[in-house]
Amino acid sequence: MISQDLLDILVCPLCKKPLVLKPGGESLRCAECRRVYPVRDDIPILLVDEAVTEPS
Amino acid sequence: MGPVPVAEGYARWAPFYDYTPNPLLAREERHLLPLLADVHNKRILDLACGTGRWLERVMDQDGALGVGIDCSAAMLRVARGKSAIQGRLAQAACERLPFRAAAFDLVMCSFALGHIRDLGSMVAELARVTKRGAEVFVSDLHPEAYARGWRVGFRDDSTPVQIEMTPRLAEEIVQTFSSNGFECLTHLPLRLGSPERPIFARAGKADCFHEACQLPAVLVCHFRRLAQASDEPRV
Repeated sequence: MISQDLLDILVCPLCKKPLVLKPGGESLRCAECRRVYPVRDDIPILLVDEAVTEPS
Repeated sequence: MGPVPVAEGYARWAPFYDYTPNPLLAREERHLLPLLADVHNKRILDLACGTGRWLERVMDQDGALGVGIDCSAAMLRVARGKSAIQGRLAQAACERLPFRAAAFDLVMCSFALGHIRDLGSMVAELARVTKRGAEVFVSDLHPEAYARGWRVGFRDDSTPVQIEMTPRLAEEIVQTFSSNGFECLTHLPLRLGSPERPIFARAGKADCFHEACQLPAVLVCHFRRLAQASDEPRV
């Protein structure tokens, strides 16, 4: 499980807006740019190249 | 054979990184541990944390709030196996930090600077994510040791593998931090000493020890983040 300490300070590496853990905990979503970053084995993969942009 | 790219090097080294006795890491720890004696209630970033060596050390202390990032998935997989730092890791690039502004009181960046392509971008990001007065410790292979043929690397089935790095002079590091709002408190060349002798002996290199002690082996820099206009609330 991702520590709350870490979740509290995570932002999108690109637009620097807060990330929200999606239900199920398998990804983190940026509400600003709609990028979704995967979480693998409790490790958020916060690399822009690994993100998928959700359609608006 | 020439040096391998950073990603490949650490992917291959990760499974036995923690079991490779390393006199440079030992010397660095000997210097830095006393300076990290009180991290109670401090938010700490282990930048390029690798297998979590420093993160695990600081999380040993009561009340420390540490997190670590690294770009190597393989190194992070090893770090994840350490209970004290589980859930405190993220895969990210040092030049694009995934943290809110002014999140940290203390940053460690150990033996990674030479692998960073864009030092200016990394330090600008550090200025963003640190609080006013935050301390940053940076260490790496000393450029003089690099010039004499020392390299970051390991042995894979007895074959030496070197990892690509760009040695950086203290002047370049200090200049980059200064131009991003940090004050340099110290930058020191560390030489190996008698506590590292057994590591050479175990590696069958006891005869190299005396010569190795003549060179500055590790460069350690200590910075403090100065107040910046962006720290103050805007009216």
